[in-house]
Amino acid sequence: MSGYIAFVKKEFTENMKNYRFFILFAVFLIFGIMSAFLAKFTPEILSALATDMKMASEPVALDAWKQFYKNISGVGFSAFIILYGSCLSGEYSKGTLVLMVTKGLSRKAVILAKYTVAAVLMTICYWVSFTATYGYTAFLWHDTGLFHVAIAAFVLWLVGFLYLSILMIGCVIFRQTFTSILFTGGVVAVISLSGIIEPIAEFNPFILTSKNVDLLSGEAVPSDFMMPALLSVAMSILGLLIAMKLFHKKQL
Amino acid sequence: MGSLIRRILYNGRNIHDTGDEYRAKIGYLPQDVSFYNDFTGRDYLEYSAALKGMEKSYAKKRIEELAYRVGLQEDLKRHCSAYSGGMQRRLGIAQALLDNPEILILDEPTSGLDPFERIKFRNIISAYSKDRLVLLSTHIVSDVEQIAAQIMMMEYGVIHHMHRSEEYIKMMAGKVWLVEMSAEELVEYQKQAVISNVAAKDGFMVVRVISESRPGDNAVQAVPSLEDAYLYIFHFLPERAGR
Repeated sequence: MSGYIAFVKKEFTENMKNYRFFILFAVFLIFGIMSAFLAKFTPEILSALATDMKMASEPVALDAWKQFYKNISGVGFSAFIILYGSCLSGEYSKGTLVLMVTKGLSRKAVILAKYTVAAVLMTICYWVSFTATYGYTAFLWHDTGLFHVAIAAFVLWLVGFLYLSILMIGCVIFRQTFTSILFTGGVVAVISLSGIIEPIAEFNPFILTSKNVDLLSGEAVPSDFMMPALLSVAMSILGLLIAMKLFHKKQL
Repeated sequence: MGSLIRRILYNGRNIHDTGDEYRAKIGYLPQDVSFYNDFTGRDYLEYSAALKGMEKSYAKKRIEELAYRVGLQEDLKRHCSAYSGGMQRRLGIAQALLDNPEILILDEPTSGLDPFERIKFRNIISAYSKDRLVLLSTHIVSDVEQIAAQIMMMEYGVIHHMHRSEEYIKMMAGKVWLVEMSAEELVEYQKQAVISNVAAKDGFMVVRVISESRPGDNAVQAVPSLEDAYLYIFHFLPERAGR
């Protein structure tokens, strides 16, 4: 346990000192702030640029959340995966884990600590972004008229854990950052593509990233997300266990 | 090597049966020691101490003590990436000594270091080895000649000999020769002889030859060194035949 705690501290320190956390924090915060502002002012900006263009309807609060979910599930999580893709390749190439393992640090603790820190930082970034969008949306549209705002955000947050688990497997299997990221992208693509297979589509965790806006608008209900959310959690845990198992045999 | 070693024992007990107990007894410095570039020397030592489960105040005291012993007390606040090769090795030895291990294992600790750093490093090891077991693996014979109590000569996982330095040197009595020859003669001669050194002197080449018999009429005996013994063992002894 002391090894795990020491490694977690080391990971936090490293993420602060190499500015990885600050970069991600800034990216998520900017998306959080921009989501509401872009939704509100894009029509005006477009009208100013093309004077003959007329907007069919006034922007609403839902547009801000559409921006948020599009940005975070796409660019936000991608940025996270790209920056965390090197979480083990750096250790492999420098051989920094060899000494630590000889000091009694268990291999499970390495993976668990890396996952813990990535998950904590993702959580902070994500909910800061959410808060920013929430605050500015409430500021710009006094009556949002939306449903289940917190639940919609909660389910996307769960997907973040799944992505991190897949990334961990990729980082354990491949020694290069690029291939780890490619692996993660590939698995995520397979998950999303499996959404078109009708009998299992309703359980697919991909729903958690694509139907959040439907939940906000009332076109979907929270129970629609129950099975995909449970499956996402189960897959995250399984992924983490697989990563630990594979790492046990990995040459450092 | 894997086929030769089946078990690793510590005080007669298989290390897998001792849990983490044996790890606490061992300090280790690998050949290619690497550090986290964003860490200072102090960060790294504190992290190593935490991994070893050392109590904070004791670790702090110990870090100061070791930094002084390895000559890094002024550099602990600098980033590891700014350390020279010698400083990195000294930081490496400091982390290996953190919780005062009974056994210290060093793998090629002085390779790539300049003479000044090598001497410094050797002195640190020498001082530490007074009341501890230090296992030092190296190809730099002069390092062990001066500090090792017992020297094992090992190849492909097989230990050929284990003696004290002076015993090796005694073994070489009458087997080390100096022969003077021209540079042209040396070209042919080195194809058949085991040569430990060649030095130019007054237009001739003075060749240090390892040979069980007098290699020539003008050959004179030389004072053997551990390096001569190393060459002799790996070229002449029967267990090496066929390699």
